[in-house]
Amino acid sequence: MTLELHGTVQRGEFHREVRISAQPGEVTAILGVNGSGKSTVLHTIAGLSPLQTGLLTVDDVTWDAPAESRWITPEQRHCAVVFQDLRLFPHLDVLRNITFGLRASGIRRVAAIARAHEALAEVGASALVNRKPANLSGGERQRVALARALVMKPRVLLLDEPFASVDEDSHKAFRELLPRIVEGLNAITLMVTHDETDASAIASRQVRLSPQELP
Amino acid sequence: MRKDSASLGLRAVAVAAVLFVALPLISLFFRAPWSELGSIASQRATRDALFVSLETSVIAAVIATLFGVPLAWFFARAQVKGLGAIRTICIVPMVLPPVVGGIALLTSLGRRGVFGRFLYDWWGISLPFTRTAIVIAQVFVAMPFLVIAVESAFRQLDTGLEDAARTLGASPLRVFFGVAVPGARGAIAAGIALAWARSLGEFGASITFAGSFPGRTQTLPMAVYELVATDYRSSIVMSLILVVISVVVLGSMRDRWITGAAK
Repeated sequence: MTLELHGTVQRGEFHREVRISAQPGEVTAILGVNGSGKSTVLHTIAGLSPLQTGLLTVDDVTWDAPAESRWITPEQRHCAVVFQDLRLFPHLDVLRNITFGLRASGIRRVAAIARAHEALAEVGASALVNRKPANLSGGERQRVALARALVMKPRVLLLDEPFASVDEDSHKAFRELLPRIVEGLNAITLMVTHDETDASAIASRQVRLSPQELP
Repeated sequence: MRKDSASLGLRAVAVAAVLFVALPLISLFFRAPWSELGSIASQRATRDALFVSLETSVIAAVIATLFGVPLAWFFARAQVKGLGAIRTICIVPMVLPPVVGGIALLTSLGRRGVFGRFLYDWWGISLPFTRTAIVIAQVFVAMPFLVIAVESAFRQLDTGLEDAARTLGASPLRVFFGVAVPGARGAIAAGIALAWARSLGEFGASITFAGSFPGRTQTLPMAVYELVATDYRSSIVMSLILVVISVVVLGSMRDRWITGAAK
């Protein structure tokens, strides 16, 4: 019951070798300076950017194997992403942002709304239900993006610089919030960060990507 | 000082351009037979033509939307060989003389047309000179306007949102309806208004493909054209009706929608 990724990911014209092995219930930090391809690794796991060579398996199911021409579409992977730029849907209020994925997975409206309220409570954002993303602070948006991923109860949770858009106070709150949430979820969690302190505070394993070498 | 004189020159050009467009429209109001306005507007020929125009243009706008919005999405996102050529063909009616479009429709869908032959031989369907023909001609001419407006809006959408939707389990269809269409709603509204206005004003393709039979296929623009020689006053009143409808459409679109399309 693990995530195994080894192979070459593509970022623009550059290729990079990666090898990651991650367990459920723990956080694996992916560290590296800007441009080392950290986000690309997450996008590859989410299915937004295909592997060039190698293999990606989750719970022994192959998600991406170019050699066998096997590739599972992003919508079929039990994988939720908190993007660095959050990507909340601007035309939907907070509640509908969070129910979006549930509704797409065929869950009925009433059940989806109930789960959305739970997820919002979990991240401490219950008061925001009817607000539009444009009217939220950076920290509030971050919480909503996290709730939108959590509500899916994913097998794999991908966090791309989860503290990028929050201020100092929210940063501390998040550092305490995240481990608790991840523990409850029992998902394979990968967190991209450039901050060593965050990595050691939250993650139990670390994978370090060296700066991009030219091909 | 130089800056001021330059802007003065520009202002003069702008005023000339405004007058060029506004004066003919205003003149319609000067020459309108105001005392007979009610009786002309309510006479049978006017009402029939207005009804045919409204009915066909609304149906045409709906069809152009149902087909044009997905087509715009296809143009904006598909990675297919020869897409540029397909796109050019679909946009051509926009720059084609409408009468040529009418001839093209006759040669394809006419009773002896390339495809119309089969419609007639197999099912007894004859399209030319019917109200359906009017709608077909209007869609043919008006859809490219909608497609162009909506396609450019789709292109400017943040594909990151579509990626986010897919990671949340949304099928391509749900990404389209749940993220792309709402994201481009301003441009879609503007495109619908444009397609409808263009359908309402359609003349060349419609009269060639559908003829101008009062009460059946005669639209308001056709009636205006036919009455110009025999009943000038009526043609002015009908023109005024078209002007008022157009202004109302444009006014209801507002800057918000037009800037929404450019956003």
